[in-house]
Amino acid sequence: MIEFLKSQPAPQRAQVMDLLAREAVQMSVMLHLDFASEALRLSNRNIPFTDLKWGHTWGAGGGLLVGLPELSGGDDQLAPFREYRLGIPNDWIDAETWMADLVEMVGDVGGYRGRDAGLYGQLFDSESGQPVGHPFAFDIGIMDRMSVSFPRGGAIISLTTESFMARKGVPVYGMQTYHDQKRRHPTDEGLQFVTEAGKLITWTDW
Amino acid sequence: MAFIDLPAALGDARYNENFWLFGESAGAGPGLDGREQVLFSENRVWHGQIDLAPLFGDDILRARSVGTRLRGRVNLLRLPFYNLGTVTFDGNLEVFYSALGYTPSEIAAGYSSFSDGTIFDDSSGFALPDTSEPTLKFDVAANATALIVEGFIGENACQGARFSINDFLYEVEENAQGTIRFSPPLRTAATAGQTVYFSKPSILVRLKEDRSWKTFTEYGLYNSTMTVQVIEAFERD
Repeated sequence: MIEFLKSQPAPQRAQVMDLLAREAVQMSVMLHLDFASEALRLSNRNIPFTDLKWGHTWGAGGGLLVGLPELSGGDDQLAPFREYRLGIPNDWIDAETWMADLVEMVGDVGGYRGRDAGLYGQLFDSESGQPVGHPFAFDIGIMDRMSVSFPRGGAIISLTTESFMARKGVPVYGMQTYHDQKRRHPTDEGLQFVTEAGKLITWTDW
Repeated sequence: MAFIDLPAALGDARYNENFWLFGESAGAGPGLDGREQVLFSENRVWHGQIDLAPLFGDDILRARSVGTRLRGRVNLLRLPFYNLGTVTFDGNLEVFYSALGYTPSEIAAGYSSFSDGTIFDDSSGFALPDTSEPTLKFDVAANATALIVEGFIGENACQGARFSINDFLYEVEENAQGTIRFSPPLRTAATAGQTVYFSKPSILVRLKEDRSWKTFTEYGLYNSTMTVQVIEAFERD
């Protein structure tokens, strides 16, 4: 059985496969950002729905999600990160200090840095409009940097999330340099002449 | 957030009810076999266009005031619909019953008779249809696509007729004596007994662009048709 189906509840696996095989598939994209103050769960539907796995309600304030990142991966993606673009809640705009509040939120890194972020998909029955099966993850990571810009009359928050692999101390730009190696293993001189060699060294594999 | 009602005089000056339900889908294009898979989500919203007939006198000022109070895209405009083509009641009993095929004498009597003209022994006849707006028979959850209404107007609404609950607009897909399947899915939960508006349903909309209402302030435009693009709004508080 393929891994995707294993994560789906057994009674609905046949229906999930049937939906995926159709020419028109109803699927929503959901974003979970585990802010310390309140977890944010958005979807690209305009009506909230409750998932069958965790029982969370997704979609309230879906208009907040104004931009999704392009997901990429592969051998040359050692430290993938995603950048989400979020609008700001409308009720904030009514407050006179909303700009200051926003800057304060971005400055309070304890509220988001290192906390969970996840991008999921969810299939729906086209007839009933109800979710079928469990949400499936496109990307799981942690929130890292957040910045805010103020175009005229509004604000856009840019939120960077990183995959868990990005936190394993991989070298910058994916190159293992002499200094990287010395930092991990102070007595190892194995990469001493890599820089002078000026080319990519492929480690032997015998 | 403020809700601005379109003044009745301006509502009557509308040429049409040009509203359509529109959502976006995604796809990677056709495969080598020519077939294509389309991904879609329930992201349909009502898009609309208001075409107002030429305005005169204080209607010009009313129109200008609406724009000022809308404050661009900040506040919301409540638009009524006339729902032409289905059974509605606009306050005129004679028009309502005449459209349903009742004779002037039946309307005057307040009841109808058997086809041969006879009436009941107690000198009464069949009650004329109720003109009040239908109500929901049961609670309906958000996301639902079917509901049951009680009331003549709702039970006889035709396919394609529109109705509103809580200023959200819906369209009848099928109606079996009050069991109505509709689009889009119910925006917010509704409770039993709540009114379902078929006669002049309404929708809250936001201007599509900040300067959309500017057309009403341009010199000389009052004597030509004015067009404004709007889009459904979801906020209610």
